[in-house]
Amino acid sequence: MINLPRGEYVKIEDGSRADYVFSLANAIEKKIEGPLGSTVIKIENGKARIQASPCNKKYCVHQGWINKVNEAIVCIPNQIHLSIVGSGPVYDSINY
Amino acid sequence: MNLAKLFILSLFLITGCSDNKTNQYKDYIFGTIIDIKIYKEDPIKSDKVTNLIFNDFHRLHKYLHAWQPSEISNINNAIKENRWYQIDDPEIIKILEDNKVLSKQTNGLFNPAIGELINLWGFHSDLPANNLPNTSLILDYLKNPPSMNDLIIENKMLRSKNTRLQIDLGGYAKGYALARAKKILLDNNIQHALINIGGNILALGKPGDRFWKVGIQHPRKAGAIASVELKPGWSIGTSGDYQRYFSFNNKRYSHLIDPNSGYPADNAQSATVLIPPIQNSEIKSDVYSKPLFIAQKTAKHELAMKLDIEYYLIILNDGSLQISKKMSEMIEWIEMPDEKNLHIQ
Repeated sequence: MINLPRGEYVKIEDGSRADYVFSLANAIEKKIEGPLGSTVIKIENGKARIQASPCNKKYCVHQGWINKVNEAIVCIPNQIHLSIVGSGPVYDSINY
Repeated sequence: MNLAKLFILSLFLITGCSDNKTNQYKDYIFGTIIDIKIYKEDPIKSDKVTNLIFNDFHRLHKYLHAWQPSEISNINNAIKENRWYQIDDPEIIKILEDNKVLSKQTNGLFNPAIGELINLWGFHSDLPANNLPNTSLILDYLKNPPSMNDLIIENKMLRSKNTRLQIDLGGYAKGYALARAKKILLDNNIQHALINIGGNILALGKPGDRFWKVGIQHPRKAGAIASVELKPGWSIGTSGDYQRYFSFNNKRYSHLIDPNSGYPADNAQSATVLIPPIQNSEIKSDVYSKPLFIAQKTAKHELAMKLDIEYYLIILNDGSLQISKKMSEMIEWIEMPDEKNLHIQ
């Protein structure tokens, strides 16, 4: 993993070759652009979720909050990938 | 990406790599997410070979799609109109023959001929279903249900004895794509890679002095229930009722439809198979989780034995676990199941 200060972070991948990382410690709300429009990501009380999405089925919104390392939310239609990174066991991939 | 976005958004910025020895790539194809990790290769070569793989997947998507314009939907249209259809491409013929064999081996529980039934349940749409199909439509369908046996392929000509046969390779395409990716990686001398197509994973080689390690998704929680090491050439696949489903009157209806009842199978939450490097193992890792998910609870173990699935984990609808002995020796629990809920077979 990359070197980050102690704690847990949410990593956001939007299909560009760079990823964004936010600490779970700070409450924020961010809009991330995907092919369908803006996905709203919310961080609050040490957890992260997709608050709103322009996709049809909204599986990503219904998934609710994540806060543990390796937990992830993917919005396939809008191509946004959210995962928790930080200390703790790390896998190379998740089978689902 | 543009700089303004960078200033607004980034607290920390990482490149596409998860560490300095692994190049990581993501793309969205087959209506799912593809994740490829390549260990210790020249990044320019990794980029080039990954592009070849993604291009091949885009080709397959256009080729195999069940309801958007594709070779398969052309075949489906011809069947609906009771016409012979000429197939010039040996790859499609091989895929269809392969599906006939797999369907027969799984006693028809893997049945790629039931595209119409899947459509009746609303799973051939990008919009969420909000209603159950009319019972009379399902009963009518079950009067003369199509099977892959109805498909006749002779001298590059194809027709179906049952005009309600509609091919849907949704349970096969990801495994086939894994096998394609493996071929492209090996043809280009890439030895160590991990390919994840919508949860179906193939390990090639290993990242340094350890094995690739993957988490198995908990069907009802955000994280993994367990993890497992994938040795070189091993693959893993899961069918779960949490991947594509809709709820109606508080009941969950998943895309895993039992061809015998015409309704979504509901005796399990997920079925995972781990396949060693045998012939067609990548395809088996995709296909074999479906019949294990759908089969009646008491028939699952026997079916696994018949199909030579030595490593499986099934989470039943009551949350209890059915696991093969060999899988139980290999798996690392994150949430250790209660002994009374764990049935080792």
